[in-house]
Formats: sequence, C-alpha cells, structure tokens
Amino acid sequence: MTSISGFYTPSTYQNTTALGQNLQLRKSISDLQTDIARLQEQQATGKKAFTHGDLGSESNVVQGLRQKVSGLDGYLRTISQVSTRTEGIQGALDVLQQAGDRLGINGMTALNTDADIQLQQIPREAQGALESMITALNSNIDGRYVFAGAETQTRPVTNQDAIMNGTPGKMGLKEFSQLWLDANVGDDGMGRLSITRGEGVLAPETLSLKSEGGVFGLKLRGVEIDGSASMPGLYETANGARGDLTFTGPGAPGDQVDLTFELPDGTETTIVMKGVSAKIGTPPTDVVEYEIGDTAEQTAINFRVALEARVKDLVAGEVSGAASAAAADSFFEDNPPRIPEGDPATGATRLASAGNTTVKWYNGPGMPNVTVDGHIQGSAPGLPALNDAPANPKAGDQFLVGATPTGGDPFDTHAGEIATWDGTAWSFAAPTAGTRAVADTNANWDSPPQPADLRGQIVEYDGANWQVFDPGTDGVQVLAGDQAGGDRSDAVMRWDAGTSSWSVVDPQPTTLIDDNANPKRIGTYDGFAWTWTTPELGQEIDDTSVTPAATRVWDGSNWAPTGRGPEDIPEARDTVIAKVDDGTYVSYGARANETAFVDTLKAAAILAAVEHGGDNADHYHALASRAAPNLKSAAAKVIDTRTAIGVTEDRLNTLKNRHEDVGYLTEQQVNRIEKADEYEVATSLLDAMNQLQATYSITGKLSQLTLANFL
Amino acid sequence: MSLFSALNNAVTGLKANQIGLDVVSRNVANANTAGYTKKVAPRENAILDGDGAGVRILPTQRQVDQRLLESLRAEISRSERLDTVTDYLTRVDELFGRPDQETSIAYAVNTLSIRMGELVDNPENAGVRKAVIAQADAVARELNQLSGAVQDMRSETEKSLSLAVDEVNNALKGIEQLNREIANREAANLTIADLEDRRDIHLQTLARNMDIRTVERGDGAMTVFTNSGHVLVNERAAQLSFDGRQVLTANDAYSTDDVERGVGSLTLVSPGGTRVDLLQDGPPRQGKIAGLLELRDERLPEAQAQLDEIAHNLALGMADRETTIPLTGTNTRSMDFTDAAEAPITRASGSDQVLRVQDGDRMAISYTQGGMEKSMTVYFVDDASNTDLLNRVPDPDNAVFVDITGVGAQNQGLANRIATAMSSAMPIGGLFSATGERLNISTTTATVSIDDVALHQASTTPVDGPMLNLFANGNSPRIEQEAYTGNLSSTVWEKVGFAGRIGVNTEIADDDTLLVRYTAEHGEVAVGDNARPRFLMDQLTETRFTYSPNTGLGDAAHPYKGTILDLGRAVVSYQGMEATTQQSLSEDQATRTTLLEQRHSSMTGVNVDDELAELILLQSAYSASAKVVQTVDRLFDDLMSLR
Repeated sequence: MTSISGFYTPSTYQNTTALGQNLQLRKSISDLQTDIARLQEQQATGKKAFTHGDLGSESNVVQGLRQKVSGLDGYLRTISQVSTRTEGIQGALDVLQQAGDRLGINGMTALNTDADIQLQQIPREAQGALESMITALNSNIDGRYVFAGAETQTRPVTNQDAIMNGTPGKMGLKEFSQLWLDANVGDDGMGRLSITRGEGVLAPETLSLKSEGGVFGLKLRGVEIDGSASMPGLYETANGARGDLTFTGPGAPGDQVDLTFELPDGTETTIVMKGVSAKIGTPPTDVVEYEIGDTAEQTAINFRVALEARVKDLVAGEVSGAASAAAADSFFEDNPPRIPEGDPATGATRLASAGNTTVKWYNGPGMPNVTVDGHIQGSAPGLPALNDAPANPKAGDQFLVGATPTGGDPFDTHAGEIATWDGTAWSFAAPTAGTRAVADTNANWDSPPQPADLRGQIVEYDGANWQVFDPGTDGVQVLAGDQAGGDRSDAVMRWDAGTSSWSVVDPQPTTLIDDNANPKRIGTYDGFAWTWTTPELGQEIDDTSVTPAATRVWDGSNWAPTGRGPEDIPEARDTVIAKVDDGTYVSYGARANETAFVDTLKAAAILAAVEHGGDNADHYHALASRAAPNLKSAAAKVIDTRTAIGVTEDRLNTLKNRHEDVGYLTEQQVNRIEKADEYEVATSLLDAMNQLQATYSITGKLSQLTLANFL
Repeated sequence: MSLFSALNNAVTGLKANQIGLDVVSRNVANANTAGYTKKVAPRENAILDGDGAGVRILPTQRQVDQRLLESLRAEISRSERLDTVTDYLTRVDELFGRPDQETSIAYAVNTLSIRMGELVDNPENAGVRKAVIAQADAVARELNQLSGAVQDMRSETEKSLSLAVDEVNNALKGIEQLNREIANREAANLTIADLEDRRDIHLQTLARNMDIRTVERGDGAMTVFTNSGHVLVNERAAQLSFDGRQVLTANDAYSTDDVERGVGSLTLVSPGGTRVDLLQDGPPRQGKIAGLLELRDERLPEAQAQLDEIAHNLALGMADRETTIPLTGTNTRSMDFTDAAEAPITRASGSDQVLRVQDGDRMAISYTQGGMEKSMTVYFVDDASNTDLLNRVPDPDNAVFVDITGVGAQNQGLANRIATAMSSAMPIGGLFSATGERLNISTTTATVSIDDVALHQASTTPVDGPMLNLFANGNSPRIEQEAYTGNLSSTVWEKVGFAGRIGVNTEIADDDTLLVRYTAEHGEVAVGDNARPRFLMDQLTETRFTYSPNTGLGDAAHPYKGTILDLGRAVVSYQGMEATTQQSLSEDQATRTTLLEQRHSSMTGVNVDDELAELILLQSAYSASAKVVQTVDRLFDDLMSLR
C-alpha cells in the first residue's frame, strides 16, 4: 500500500514511471528487430539455425546424417575408381584371351591340314599374339600396373624382345630352349639313346640299349618281348637305364618287342618292333618292321638298323617337341629356371639352376622361393655286402666282399675289401678309416669281426672294424645312396641319439641342402635320382625344416638368414583390397603370374621361339600339337578369371546403386530438419515487420501524451 | 489566536509548499535517472503545547519496499551468473563449429577419414599421400587452436574475476562510508533518502557480483553478509582479495592444496585482519563471480578435456598395436611374455628393441557373466600408488593396475604380477595363473567365460606396421617432438592439454611414403599395398573406443563408447546443447528479473504526470497561503490606520 502525502491510495494503483515505460518500449522494439534480423538470415541462407545450439537436440541427428552422407560419398568414389580398374583388367584379359584363342585355333587348324605352309605361319603369328598378350598384361591404368599385385609401380612382364632374344649377358627363350633341345636330342640325333651290338664281352647277337641322358632324352622304361629274344631286365646305370637284348635265335615273323620310353615331358611312348620276313613298302604307322635274318646276329643287325631309324624319327619329332615344351615350362615356372648342366648341353645329364643367366620374364611379386624341407650332412653310398660278385653291376657300384667268398668268383680272396666295378672290371681296396657307407640287410654284415648290429645302418670304418656311424648330435640327417637297398635307397636317414641308431625319415623331405658340400648345394629328387644344383649369389630359399620357417639367402659361402620368414603369398585377387562399405571389402587384384596367364604366355612364347624352317617340320608339329591345345584350355581358364572379376563388378554396381539411394534419402532427412520453410519464414517476417511498424507509431503518439503539454 | 499566529501559520504553509516544490522539482529532474526513487515530503500538523501552529515538514522520505528490493537483488545475482555463463558457452559453441559452414572439429576429422579412404584406393599416388598429411596437419592445428582458445577464455575469466573483485571492494568501501553518514544524519533528524539511494546503487553492484544478504540496523546502517554468513560490511568494510594468474594453461587447475593450485583463489580479509579462503569455505553461488568460477574450474576444463580426449584417441588409436593372447587349448589362453617369437610385445626405442611393456599399455579382457557382456582392463603403470589413477582411466569400475617397476628387460616377472593382480579382480578367482613366465588364463567356467584377451600398446616407430604413430606430442619447431604413449602414472598427466600440443609426426611429414610402407614379417611391403591405410581408416571409422567420463559424456558406470568420428560429433553437439540450455535458463531468469524490476520501479519510480499534478496542488496551496499573508498584511494595515 503506497501513500502519497498521506492520502490513501489503493494497493491496486499501478504507477508507470516515465523511465520504466521508455525502457519497456525500447526492449520491445529491440526484441522485434532481433526477430526480424534472424528471420532475414533464415530466408537468405535457407537454414533454420546458425549454431549447433540453435538446432537443439536435433543437432546430433543432423550431424550423424551428414556424416553418413559423407561416408557414402567416400564409398561411391572408391567404387568408381575400382570399377575403372576392373574394367581395365577385363579389357586386357579380353585381349589376352582372344589372342590366345585365335592362336590356338589357327594352330590346331594348321596341324590338321597336310600342307606345311599353314604351320610355317604359326611362329610369326605366335610372336604377334605374344606381343599383344604382354602388352595386355602390362596394362597401366591411372599410373598403376593392374597385373602386378600390390607392387603397382612395377611393370610386371618383360618386353617380348628380351624374353625371346635375351639381353646382353642373359639368355632369352630361344637360346634357352635350344639348350634343352640339345640336351634331349643329343649330338647324334638319337635322343641320348645308344644301341650297341656285342659290347664288350657280350655276344654279337646281344644289343645293349642304354639311355644315358640322365633326365634328358629318351628314357628306357620297359621292354616286353614276344618271340625269340630275351632280356634279363632293365637295370639302372649312373645316368639312366640299360637293357641287354639278346636274340636267342633268328626269330620268326610275328615276333614282337615293345620298347617303352619316357619322353622329356613325362609322357610315355612305345615303339613296337615287329619281325617280318620281308618289309612291306609302307608299314603301318605305329609299327616298326625289322627283317628276320638267317642268324640271330643278322636279326640283331636288322633290328638295330630299324630301331635306330625309328628312334631318329621319334627324336626329330616327338622328343624335340616335348623338349621345347618342357623348356618353356621351366623358363616360365621355375624360379630360377633350370638348364642342362654342363657344356656342351648335348652331354648333360642333370639340370642346374640357370641363376642370373636367363632373362626374368616376370618382375612382379608373388614368385615363391624354392622350399627346402631338409638338411643333410653329406651322403653315404650304399654298400651291399656280398660273398659273390653280382651279375650286372653298373659302373661306379661298390660292394663289400663278405667273409666267405666263393672260390673261383671274382670276389675270391678279397674278403672284407670293397669291390668297385668300373664298367669293365673289378677293382678291390681295403676300406680306409673314415669311409662311410650304408649297410644293406645282408647277413654278411653281422659276421665277425663286425661287432655291432650294422644291418640297415650307416656305418663307418674305424681302421679295424665297421661301426655304426655316430655323428655326435641327435637329429643329424644323411642321404643314403641308391644301392642302400630297401626303402633306404636314395632316402634321407636320421640319427636318433636316444636309441643310437639310424632310421629312414618319414615323411621324406623333397628338397635338401647338403651342409657338408662346398658349396652347400640344393638337391631335388626327380623320381629317379637326386639332382643337385649349385646356389647362385643372392638366391633365396624358404627353409621349412626349422621352426619358425626362415628365408635364407646365399651369400657366396653360406645360407645366411635374412631375418624374415617365408612370404605368405596371397591369392592373386587378394593383393589389392578396397573398402566399399562399412566392414565390407572387395578384392580385385591380379598378378601376371597367375596360372591361366602363364599357361597362355608359355604356349605362345614357345611357338614363337622355335623357328619353323623346312627341316624341323616334325619338331614344330610335335610342339604345336602340345602348345595349341594348351592355348585353348588356358583361354578357358582366363574366362574363369574374368567371370570371377565380373562377379565383383556386379557386386560393386549393386553397392553403388544402394549407396546412391541411401545417400539421397539421407540428404532429404537432413534438409527436413535443417531447412527453413520459405513460406513460413516470409509470413513470420511480414508479421514482425507489421508489429514493429505499429510499435513505432504508438511510441510516437505516446510521446505527445504528457501532462506538461497540457498545462 | 492572534493575527500573528495566523501570519505564522501562513508562513509555515508557504515554507512547507516551498519544500514541496523543491521535492517535486527534484523528482522531475531525476525522472530518468536510473536507481532514483521518488521522494515525498511528508507533513504533519505542527502542535505546540496542544495548539495547532501550522504545518511542519518532516525529513524527505523515499517509498521503498525493502523486501521487494532484496528479492530483486537476489534475482539480479542469478541473472548475472547465468548471463556470464551463457556468454562464454555461446562463444565455445561457436568455436566448436557451425553446422552450415562445417568448420567444426567433427568435420575436420571426418575429412581426414575421407582422405584416408582415398589413400586406401591409391596408396602409390604421391599427391594423395600429401593430401592425407595436410589434412592430418589441419586436424592437429584445429585442435591446437581450439585448445588455445579455451585456455584464453579461462585466462579471461581470471582477469574478469580480478576486475569483479575490484568492483566489489569499491562498493564495500562506498557502503561503509554511506553507512556512517546515514547514521550521523539520522541521529540529527536530517533526510537520508538520497544517501539511501546511493547505498542501494552500491548494493546492486555488489549483488551483481555475488549473492548477498542484508540486514538493516536500527540506526539506519545496513549490514551486508555473504550467503554463507561471513560479514562483508558492518561498522567497517571487509575486503576481497584475489591472487589471479596472468595466463592459464590446461594444467593449471584449482586445488585445495595451495602448492598445487594453479589458479587464483578468493580470500575475504576482515577489517580485523582475519583471512578466510572463500572458495573452500562458502564460495559465492550466484552473481558474476560465481559464474566466472564455474566457467574457469568446471565448464572450460570440461571443454578442454573433450578436446584432449579427441587428441588422445586420435594419436593412440592410430598407433595401437594389438596382440591377442592365443588359445593354446580348448579352455586356455596362454602366452610366454619373455619369448619374443610368441609374445611380440615390443616397442623399438632408439637402436634397441625394448621388449617390455611400458606405462600406458593395457590388456583388455572381455568376458561374459550370466549372459551379460562385460569388460575389464588391466593397466600397466610405473607407479601404482599415484592416487589420481582412477580418474585417469575411462572405466574406473573395471580397471586393475599392475605396477611394472622392477619387471625385467624381457618382461620377466610380468606374468606373475598380472596373475596376482587379477586373482581378486575377476568375479571368480583362479582364472589367471602364472607358471614361470607364462601367463595362463582358463577361459570357460560355469559362470564366467572369457571371450578375448588382447594387449594394446602404443607404437613409437613407423617401421612397425600396420599401425602408425601419425600424431606425436609437440607441434612447434622449437620444441623437440616426443612420442605420445598415453602415460598414466606420471605426476603431471600427459593427456591434459595434449590437444594444444598435438602435431603430425615430423618423421612422417618428411617422408610421406611411411603412410604406406612398413616392415612386415617377410620384408618391406610393396608401395601399392594398402594394408596400412586400411588399418588407419578402420581405426578412425569403425573401431570403438571407451572414453573417459570427465569429458561430460557418459559416466563412470556407463562410459561413452564409440568411434573417433562419433566422439567428434558428440563433443560438438554437447557444447551446442549446453549453450542452448544455458541460454534458455538465462532467458527465463531474465523474465523473472524484469518482472520484479518493473514492479519495483512502478512503486518507486517517478511518474512525471503525477508530479505535475502535485505541482498544481502545491501551486494553488502556495497561492492560497500567499493570499492569507496578503490578507493578514492588509488587516495589519487596517489595524495600523485606525486613529
């Protein structure tokens, strides 16, 4: 209750002061002006709010949506880029496939016509095809080589000229395949097969068939006789097999001898020798006729002549073709490639690593190293113990003469000595201290003065007795020679210090390093014998005989550790991965050394490398009949690869559409929240402006209404 | 009864009206003065010896409702606090980002993930790599800038506190003086209305700065208390003192321990010399000072903590090396910590490979108990006795600390310590055991099954991949850059203020191919191999981390989990929400204050029309009294002219 000068004034009396009124008015005007300014800005920007705060609780939603849109944009960009690359890959593979296919068809067509003219065009065509295949595999898209796996800056395939003709200091495929050809054909065109009559002490009607090419040439595998000839059997020699065919009589027409040979590419072929009384003009193609002579010796002579002719034909054709194909296999698939060991190649019996002497056709990643799964400390030759000399030793074989040799036998009076057959005669020598060998299971190994149970063990002569060889450390491995007998032949044996005995390792390692050899060579078993290759400086191997597996490199004297393990070579597709959605990845890599591509390249390359002059028509024919079908099947594999990539492309397309749709919807949602409705804003603006106008006019009028003006 | 008395009465009337005119004129002159209250000059019938003797004017009074005034002051205090907080928080909101211009930190981190995505597609492209480095640099700089701005605002609050304290002190002094004068004049029966007006102005200044209570004493003096009962002004005025710092950094925080305290504290010095630390004993709860203190000690450090959390997780997330403890049996996981092949938990340091775990490394265990998925984290620390450790981890309820001082150079002894620490930490004991250097964990029991155990370490060299220590501690060419390892037990916590120090690792900035190449088991990866960019992108966009509750997001029982992008978004939204909330609170309060202000001014303000009406009254009264004097004068003349 207020009172003015003592008068009663009711409490409902409201006094409005000049100052208060004025301030009130100014506040209203200022509020209205702020409103108008805000509405103006809304209209100009089209957005409801200027700070996150103004959006209120929807701020989090808006941000989430914007982030989603931004994420989708990122994925769409990735998809677009990946699509460009896969399109490039598909294009290149199309070229590859077409080239291979066309060459294959032309090759097969040429093979089926009698005229040689068509086949003569094949090398040139193959060269053209190879050129376009290599260009396709070296495709570069956006500065990336798409067939180089993860090493996108490395050109994967060497150019065609270098592959074919080599570079200074390095062999190309032409020279490489020539070496293989030489080794398989031999210097007399007989495919490393020698047919001699009456060799040494043998009768003149005995033909000695020897395949002496080691891994090369025609390898004698089997003989079947139906008629008056006999062969005690094939037995192994140092470099192959040997069979002595004895004609027991002149024979009769209809006699048949089937000789089975293994060709350089692993296939087998059989020469059927048929005895006839007189040769027909043109015999059937798969039969070789020989004339029955008056005597066994005459038959043998005829047999030999006919066989030689046939062998030469075979060598000029099938063997040469197979040799070239095998050469291409090694050039493109072995790392490093293998060449015949020794010079001249015509005398080689083993393969050796070509090391750095060949052009590397593939420069990208993903070439696996040779995997070594065993180490040996030297080898020990097999030493069967016999009382009597064996009937058919091969040159280099050694035997231990037993304690009781039979009188009259070459082994007589040489008890306890080591007998060596040099091919013609026996030589004997007392064992020297330190000699090591693998004892066979012959009981002669038990008889005194040998004290311990030596049968089947690796033994060492200590000067007086044979003892079980104790290497000192548990787990030492030694390679037993091929005369060791039983499952010890050519097998790796391990020393068990606990039981003090040697046993055959199971499972047998396939690739060995001989730590006792100098240099420490690598050995592989080719099914026949162990072949040793000398390491090259810088050559790497993956040693899986230790845990963890380690990669080693040859430094000239030792296999030095590199500190790394064997590379886990990923699937070609998985070498390049892109992220196309939350937690979703697509793999779209490719490598030029994928099987499908290598098969195509290989076949085209060898067809181009071997020249087709007039005199090697059969050779080329045989080669083409191997390579052309390979091209067709390789082209099919390429199609498989293309299909796989096509599936990925399809998936990318689906994802792209989905992302676009979702992105659009999300943008709509954002706009719904953020955007200001233009009509609403315009209306509010008009209202506010009207209010302001009214306020101004009232303010004006009020300012006149004061008592002072009326006094 | 005589003519003389009539004359006298008329003269008193004249005098009274003169004074009345004087009051009216003063009221009209001060009609627009803020804080001026309407004065009235009350009159009373002058009685001498029981007879009327005209009119007497009493000392000018003002008409003020004290209770209303007190309520108004309280509302003003609240308004001022809310306005101060809103003002700063709005600035923080603007700093952190605006949705239409997309300059928020969330956007910068998002752009980094986009660039990283481009790198995944084109790792061999030098331009793309440079773009990634540039964007990483932009993110680091943005964090530096924001951190700097937040600390600048804190320094500002410190300065504003000094100014406010000065203002308070002046007001207190003024009140003291006015109290004395008012008491004196009251005793002499003089008007005190104008002085009271002045005192009210000072009181309002005080109220704006801190919340006060007032009590009016009998002699007219006003005693002022703080809300906690400390006397500000009684006979003499107390003084506030504030030992403010010039520049505040992230590590300067309030602490009750004076040695550790890095910011200023308010002290009330009573006239007798007694000092009371107001922040410990009764801090102001309303008013500008309270608002500034809240900003300096709670809100701005929270904003800083959010920035630090982003920086911390960016740096550690990308450099995280994860080693899972493998399953060695159907129900066991085990690992020999000293075997380098089995437990590659190494960190290269200089030319030596340091094999052991370091401070900041952790082991994350996820297990299922009763169908619910839970997690436990073992932190390796150099000093487990540091009392602040629980505050420094995101999930303190599920954290175990293992002291690693004395653990051998190849982690000898570590397995044992872990087993000991975990024996009581898991819901059932005996799951963790150590045989020699091998830690064994039985994974399945009736109630608890352990799903995954993984060691997390921060990589400090780009050679180890695919993780990458893209960000490091140090962004100025003058300071040597160090690796950031999330060290937990150092006295000064490395994470605080890291947002101001984060920078792109100079080693990687110099050689951007390090974004792609690193040394894997079989050798260096190819330049087109996108394994490392893919890892970095996943860490940014898909891996979920747990964030510390001191960011304001989540709490100790349910910490906030999400990707780094989520964190950026949450931080920006949080600031926005805070600003809006404070603003609407402030506006509500403003309405209340305005209402009271209006009520007060309507009661005590000057209405010019009213005064003019009064003027008319006075004018006629004066004329009437003058007429009386004139008449008496003529009567005197008549009397004198009698013969």
